[in-house]
Amino acid sequence: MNLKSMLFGLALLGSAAPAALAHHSYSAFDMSKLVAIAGTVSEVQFRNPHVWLFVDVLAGDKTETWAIEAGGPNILMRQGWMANTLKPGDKVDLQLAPMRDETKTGGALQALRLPNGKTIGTWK
Amino acid sequence: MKTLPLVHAVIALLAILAASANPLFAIAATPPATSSVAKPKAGPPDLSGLWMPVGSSVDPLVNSTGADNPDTNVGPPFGTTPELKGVYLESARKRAEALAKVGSEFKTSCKVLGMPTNMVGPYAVEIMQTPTQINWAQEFLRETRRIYLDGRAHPNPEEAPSTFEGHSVARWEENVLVVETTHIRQETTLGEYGHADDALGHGPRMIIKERIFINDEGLLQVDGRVEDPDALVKPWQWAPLTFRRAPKGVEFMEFVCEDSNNESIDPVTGAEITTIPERRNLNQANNKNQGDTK
Repeated sequence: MNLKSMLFGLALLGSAAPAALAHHSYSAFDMSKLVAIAGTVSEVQFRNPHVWLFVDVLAGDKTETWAIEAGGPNILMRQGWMANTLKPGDKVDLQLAPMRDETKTGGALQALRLPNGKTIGTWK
Repeated sequence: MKTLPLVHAVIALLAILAASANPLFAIAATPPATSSVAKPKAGPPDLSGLWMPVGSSVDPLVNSTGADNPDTNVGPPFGTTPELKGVYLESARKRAEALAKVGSEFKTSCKVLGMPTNMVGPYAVEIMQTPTQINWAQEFLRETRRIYLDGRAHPNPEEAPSTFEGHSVARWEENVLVVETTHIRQETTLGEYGHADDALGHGPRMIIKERIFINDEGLLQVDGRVEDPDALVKPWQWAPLTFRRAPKGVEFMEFVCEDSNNESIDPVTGAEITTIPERRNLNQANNKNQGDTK
């Protein structure tokens, strides 16, 4: 546990403290599951209200494209993920909560290892 | 470099000599106890600047993807919940049941949150302070409250229609900004994160009383009490809201809903639908499963 997560944990100890809110529901995703993928960025849509990342992953002899939703630029830029940080062709490792509709290769981003070594979110 | 201490010593000696020889120096160094010069009164604290809600995804102490906080997304948004009554309680129950039916904790739309919900808006707050007015701007949907300190009264409710932000007047009590807000549209809700489409989110006579100050930890703290004799069994006090100063160099950013390409509301069930946005570079999409979930 690093200092940041410790401080965050301490902040959460105050039971009467208001909950930290996301701005929309995650009902489309199974937040109890965690899927790890490694692949190549094929597209980045860096815009409000949510950034979407498309990652091509080799699955046997074919390529699957995963669509991954993150927070908005106002969250990500403050942690160093700028509009030009990820480009098509970049290799990334990430963890996601998959969509409940299992026919779709998509998910909500839980952690992302950027090519510069920085991790956005908490890698589990 | 070894000569520096000697230079300092000479300067210090000259300064002492000058102070002892010149009465002006002496007065500046030690004001007499009977000085008639009034000590300049410290003004109210300057709250201006960018503030991040503590524990939110923009808190500099939190590392978040913005889509990874289900653990913290529990409990009432204001820490405490109001005791509603009558038609307002019934209205809140209906909203809670509708959300439970579609498996969602809350539902938002592009409609601004309004008071008091915008005080738990999830993103940065920018305060611009002058002696007569304080603007509290929120990134989420670009809501701005205007708090007047020029002594004006609330408008006549017969003349001025209510608004989402309401009408806020304030005064400084020492270092505490004491704010009173009225004239709030009844679509805003108490203790929820959402809207009352039936305009029964609260009563027409609601008054929100806030005390805003820098607390002992250096955080901006907002204590709030809601008085609403029509909708509440008793006044509702929310748990203190706290905000941390943003790191130097961080700027306010607009967060707009109009750009949304992946969220919509199912007209039949009322459920929020998350769809994968269309690819801009269609050549890259080579598996049929990746796409719109509808």
